[in-house]
This record gives sequence, structure tokens and C-alpha cells, in this order.
Amino acid sequence: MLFNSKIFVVFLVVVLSVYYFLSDRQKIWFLLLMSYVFYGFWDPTLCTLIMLSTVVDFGCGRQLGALSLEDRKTRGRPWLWLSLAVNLGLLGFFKYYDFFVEELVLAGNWLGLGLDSERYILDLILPVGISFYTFQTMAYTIDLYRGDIREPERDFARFALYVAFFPQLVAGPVERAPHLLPQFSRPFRLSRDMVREGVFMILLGFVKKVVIADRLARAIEPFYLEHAKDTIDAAVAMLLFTCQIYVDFSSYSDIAIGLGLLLGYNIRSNFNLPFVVPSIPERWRRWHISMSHCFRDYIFIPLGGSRKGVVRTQVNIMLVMFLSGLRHGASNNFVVWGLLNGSTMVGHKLLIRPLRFISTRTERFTVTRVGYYYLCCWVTFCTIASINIFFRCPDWDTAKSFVDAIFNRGLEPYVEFLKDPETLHSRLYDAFGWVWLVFAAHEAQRYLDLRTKILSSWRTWSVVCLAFFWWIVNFGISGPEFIYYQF
Amino acid sequence: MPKPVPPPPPQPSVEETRRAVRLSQALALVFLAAFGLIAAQVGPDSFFVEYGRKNGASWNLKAVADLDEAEVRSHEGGRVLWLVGSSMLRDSFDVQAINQGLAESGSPFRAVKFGQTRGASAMSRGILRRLPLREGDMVLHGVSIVNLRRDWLEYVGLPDWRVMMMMEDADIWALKEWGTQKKVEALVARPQAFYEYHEESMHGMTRWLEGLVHKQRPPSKPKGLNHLRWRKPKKRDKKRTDDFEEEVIEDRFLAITDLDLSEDHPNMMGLQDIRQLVAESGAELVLLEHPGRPSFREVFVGREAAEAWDAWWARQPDTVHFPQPEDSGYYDMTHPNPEGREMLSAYLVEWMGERRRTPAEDWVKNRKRLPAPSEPVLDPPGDE
Repeated sequence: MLFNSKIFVVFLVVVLSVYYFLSDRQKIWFLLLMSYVFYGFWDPTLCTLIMLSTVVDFGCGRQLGALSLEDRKTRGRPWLWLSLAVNLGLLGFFKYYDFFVEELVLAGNWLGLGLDSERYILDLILPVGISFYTFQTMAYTIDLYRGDIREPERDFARFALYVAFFPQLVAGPVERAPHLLPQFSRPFRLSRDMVREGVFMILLGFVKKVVIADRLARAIEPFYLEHAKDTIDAAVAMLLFTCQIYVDFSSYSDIAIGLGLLLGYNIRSNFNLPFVVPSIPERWRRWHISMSHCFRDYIFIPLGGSRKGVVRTQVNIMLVMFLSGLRHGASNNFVVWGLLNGSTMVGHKLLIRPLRFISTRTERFTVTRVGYYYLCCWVTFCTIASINIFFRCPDWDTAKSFVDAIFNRGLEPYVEFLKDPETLHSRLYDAFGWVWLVFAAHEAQRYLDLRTKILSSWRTWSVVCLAFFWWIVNFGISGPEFIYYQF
Repeated sequence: MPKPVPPPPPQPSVEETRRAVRLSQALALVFLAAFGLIAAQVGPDSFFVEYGRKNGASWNLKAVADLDEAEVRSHEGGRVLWLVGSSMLRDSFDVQAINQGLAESGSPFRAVKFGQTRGASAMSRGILRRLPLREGDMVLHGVSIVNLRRDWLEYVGLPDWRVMMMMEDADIWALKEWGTQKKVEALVARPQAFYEYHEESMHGMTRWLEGLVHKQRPPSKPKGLNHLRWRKPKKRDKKRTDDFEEEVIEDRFLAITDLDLSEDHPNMMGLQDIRQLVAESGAELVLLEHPGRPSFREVFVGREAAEAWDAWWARQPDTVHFPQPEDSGYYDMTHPNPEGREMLSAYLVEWMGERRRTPAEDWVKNRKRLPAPSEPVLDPPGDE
């Protein structure tokens, strides 16, 4: 079920109208049932995958919990491997089987084996959000194995709800067991502040999705359907996509957090103003925080993190970003996207000294300091947008045509454009209004903390919420699905 | 070591929980009321929809709603020839010229046309359900092979709200191309009028506000004649057959595997409903094929598909064979231009008088021209 659908609104009304009248125990079972209804709307058979993942990790967790903290690292290892094998097996099979087979067939044919890929490819359906819930369940078992969680969850319904909790099931935030699981064991409690913030977050998420992200999607979509022809159109479509993906993804997280609050649960924030940031590492600290933390805690740090020298640190960063790219999808584009992101992180580390030198020189005057800050933000934004070409383009050839159109035709098209900006495609030109809105809202939140101001005053909150509601209703709640549903 | 995950925040009291639950229930009522208020402002005749009406389906429904039956039947004989179909039918007939011809020949019929882009049988039945069909009337409905694609809905890209406008719940539920989620989505879209018209309402509001900004007063409402007009050919429409790129031909090519002549195709079901509606009213149904340019089949239709279509068409009991204009009588592959329209309209006038006595091929050689030219062609607003 999509959040931005009429059926979800009906679903939510049903859930909330029943939920508040149930006992604590009934609430858990009811939410579990509704979470499976929510997920089963795509294809009921896919619920078996979540169920399998849940049963395996619940069982592994119980077995690990029965061991002392010291024994877990030795006698508990088979249970950890079982969990990893099942979850990574599911993920690998459904998400990567066809990709790797295709690549192997290509390699085989290059060696002259004459293989037919059609014979081996299964055309598997990608279960929605599979990477999110498999990461969440694996994280639980790994935490138990490492002793970060002392006691396993003994109630199957609560654990199953932790895996399938519908607000964050298909596109995160990826919740960690020590934060979410204890909340299911506590009695139901709600405050007016939670209701107020929940309603605000849901409406904010919907405004971001249906009013901004979907408008941007409509403007950009036609340009990515074919190979890039015009330099300026391609460059603008590239920049606008980076706005779209931020608004689209963060809107999902906002709705998830808001839904959690209305149900009495706290879901951790997934974004911390990542749209206008002065450096690439800073951006990754603020973007998709829950998943970044998973990569940090379960891959980067176990690999040695930054404790084993400069070279090893950079290798670890590249490896993590490569895996991050691969997580997004089984295609060369995502692999390149991950590696390019890793390269920029490494590049930033190498350039840190000259950058600091320039930064200290600009500190003296406000104009130079602010100017330098926004110059860095612009360079960072353009770098991210350039890398995102590989994220957005449907195939390798389209991505190459965009890179070629934007970077390989010299400065002439840009100079011509600056002389006569009217030549910009009108569809893209119109979309700039939304980008300015996002930028203004982003910076207003950073400097004025608008959200706190809105939430602290009943009057402001009411006006803003009704305005948001009017906007959403008039723009229509249906639209294309969230970009991160496919991951 | 990884940083520890923070524990969940502390919980509020039981009393606060009671208050919060009451608040959330009250808010649900407030939002429900607000939605009702907003939804009540949007409908087929609402203020902003009048400014933003831009779709053929919407224009046709307005025309049906505004139809004055007494006026339509005010001529001697009082019978009506309802021309209902897609843009191919809309562009094939000039109602003004036809009515003049019918009046001059003393026919008891007058023509009324409802043509819309992507208005194949599945959509046209929505119009026919609303028309005051009477015994003695005739319904001329256009059918084309291109509307029997297996993936017709996806291929023509009909927006959901437009499907909802023209189809009833049972029709939507029977659409095999739509998944359950999409069907349920359409069925829970209530109040229906709000979902059907809110896009045009938004467009109207934008237009109205832009008018205020630029002209200091709202722009005039578009005139409701869309269903009577036809597209003004554009430069790009003048492409000849040999101008089409391979990719375009491949994209539009209709092979036998793309053709669906089964009874559960949306347009087949629509046609079945049209037959039933017309029969129940005591009127007569005549099906007209829109064959497109003579070269259309050569380029865009596979041989097996054409044969299957011809065999199906030959089995239909209520068809009429019209002359086919030359390639020069079309502005694209399937839509007649003024030259083709004049010819088809003239044949319709004669055919209405003599009822199938003149074979179409013989008629073309020594045909009469229509007595009067039609109104100037206007480019209809919006996406038509």
C-alpha cells in the first residue's frame, strides 16, 4: 500500500479508530495484523518472506539469548550465521540473482563460452522494501551476538511487529531493536504534544510528496526517458533530481515518524537538514541517518573503521560506499554511484588541509565567510547531483549520454545559456519555483527553527496544519510511488 | 566500538494519554469536516472547474448536462442521429454541415456529436448512459482496431480520474488491466465528483489567479463547444508515412499478439453495453469503422492482426461501410483533416437519406459536395 493513496487514508482511519479502544496486548496484535495487511496489498505472497525473516531471527535471538555474553561469540556463532544466511540469502536471491547471472553470462561470453542469459535469468519480482526489513532483523541478531542487547525479545508478536511495523516497513527509517522493541513492551501512552507533532509531520510529509516531489518528478521524468540531447536541459534535470530525491525520501520518513507518534511510538529521525551542506562527509552524516548508522556500526567499524591507518580507512570508506551503492539495486549504475560517492569522501579527506586553510582566511569578514560557506554548499550540491546521474538514469547508456552532454561539450552551451536563459525548457524553468521553496524552507528551519515555533503555538500549528491539509486535498493525494520503495 | 543506540524517550501519564486520545479523535472530526467543506466546492459545475475545464470527457459531460432535448428535437420528425465516439469520430464529421444537408434533404434526423480524445467504446458508454435516447433515434458509434490493443488503458495513458468519470464501479471492477489495489483505490474515492474534477478545479484556480495577477481581472470562461470541434492540424501532424522513424513504427505497430478481441477487453465490454443501452431505448445502433489512412494498415498493422480484425468486423450485425478518404484527407495516420471530414460528412448526409443504397466506392466517383462550408475550425483548449 502506498502512503500517498486514497486507500491508505481509509486504512489509517480504520487503524486509528480501532487502535485507541484496544487493550495494550490487543494493540500489538492489531498493529501486527494491520502491518501485514499494509504490506500484503502489493502481493500477499510476499508476506511469507517477512514471516520467514521474522521466525528465523526470533529463533536465533532466543538461542543467542540463552547463552552468556561470553559464550555468544563462540557457541552463538552458528545462530548468527544462520540469520545472516537467511536474510542475505533472501536479499541476494530476490535483488541480485538476475544481475549477477547477467554479469556472469557476459563474462562467460567474453571468454567465448557462448551462454544464453535468457536461460538463466528468472525475472524475479523485487519484494518492496526487502533491504529495509532484512537489515532491521539482521541488526537485532548481530546486536545480540555482540552483546549490545543483553536479553532477547521473548514475545513473538512484539518481535514480529518490530520487523513489520507498517509506518517504517518499506522505506525506513531502519529502527534499531534497543530503541523500538522496548516501546512495544511498555503500556500505551500518548501526549498531546505527540499528537500535535504527529499530525504536523504527516501533513508536512504529504505536502513534500504530493505538492513538491511529484511536481518535480513530472518536470524531470521526460528528460530521463531518453538520451540527453541538450546540455542545459540535462544539467538542470540533474540538479532538480537531487532536490526531488531529498524531498521525496524525507517526506516518507516524516510520514513514518508522524504515524509512529500517533500510535504512541517514537521513531528516530532519518534526516537532519542535508539539502544545503558545505561538504560531502557532512551530507552523509545528515542523509538517511538510520541506514548510515547501520553501515557504520555493522560494516565500517568491524572492518577497522579509522583505527588502522590512513590507507586502510580510505579503503574501508570505499568498501562501505560500494556496498551502499549495491544495496540500492542490482545494476552497474548503482555500483558506479557508490564508488563515486566513496571517491568524493576520500577526496575530501585528502583536500581537508587546503580547504581548512581557505576557510580560516575567509573567517575575517561576514561576507567572505557566508560567501565561502554557500560556495562550498553549491559545489557539494553539484557534486552530489552529478553523481546522482547514475542513480536516476534507467540504464548505463542514458547515464553516459547525460555525462557527455553535461561535462564533455565545453563551456559554450553554458555561456550561451547565461546570455539567454529563456532557452531553458519551460517545464524545467517552472520547476525552479519549487526548488527555491525547498531551499528557503530548509534554511528557515536551520536558522529560525520553524518547526519548534509551529509546534509550540496552538494557533500557528492550527493555521499551518489546515493550510497543509487544504494544499494536500487540492493537489490530490495519489501520485507516483516513493523513489525508495524500490530499494 | 559502535555508539550505543539511545533508549526510547520517557512516557507521559495515564491522564495525559486520555486527553491526547480525545484530542486525536477531535482532530479526526475536524479534518473530516474540512475535507467535506473542500470537497463540496468541487464538482462538474463548480466555479473553478468552469475556468479550468480542459478535458474532452469533462466537456462532453457538460454538453450532455446542458443538452436541451426539446431544442434538439424541435425539427420536423424530431429524430436524432447521435454521433458518439473518439477523436477519430469527432474529426470525421462536421455537424453543422451535416444538419444543413439533412434539413435540405427533408430528413427527420438532426445530428448531435459527442467526440472525445481516447473516447473508444469503454468511454463512450459513459456518454450514452446519460443521453436521452428515444425510439426512432440512431446512434452512430465509431470503432477502430487501434482501440483493441491488449494494453489499451496503459497504451493510451488515460488518467484514473477520467476513467472514473466515464465508467461505473462495476465497469471499473471488470477492468482486467487494473490490479486490485487500483480498483479499490477508485472505489474508495468518495465523494466521486471531487476526485473526478479536482484536477480541473486546480487548473481553473491557477488560471483564475494568474488572470488576476496579469490582467487584474479573471479570464473569461472557455466556451463549451469542445465536443463539436476538431483539432487544428499542426505542422508536426503533416508527417507522411515515410517520415516515421523505425522506433515510432515499432512502438505503435499492432501485431496479432497485441490485439485482443476477447469479450473482456474494456472496449468490447463497452461496445456490449452500448448495444444493450441502444436496444433498450428502441433506437438503432450503427457501427462505423475508422480505418485511418489507406497506408495506415501497411505501416502500423500486422497482416494477421488485420485479418483477425476483418473477420471480427464481418461478424458484427450493425455495421456501415463508409468511403475511405485518400492519404491527403488525413492530418495524421488516423484523423481526417477538413478535406476528409467534408467527404465523410457529405456521405453521411446521403446515406441517411438513402440508407445503404449507394455503395461507398461508387459514391466517391460522382459525389456531391456539401452545400455550405462549416464554421471556422477552432483549436480546442486543453489536452484535446
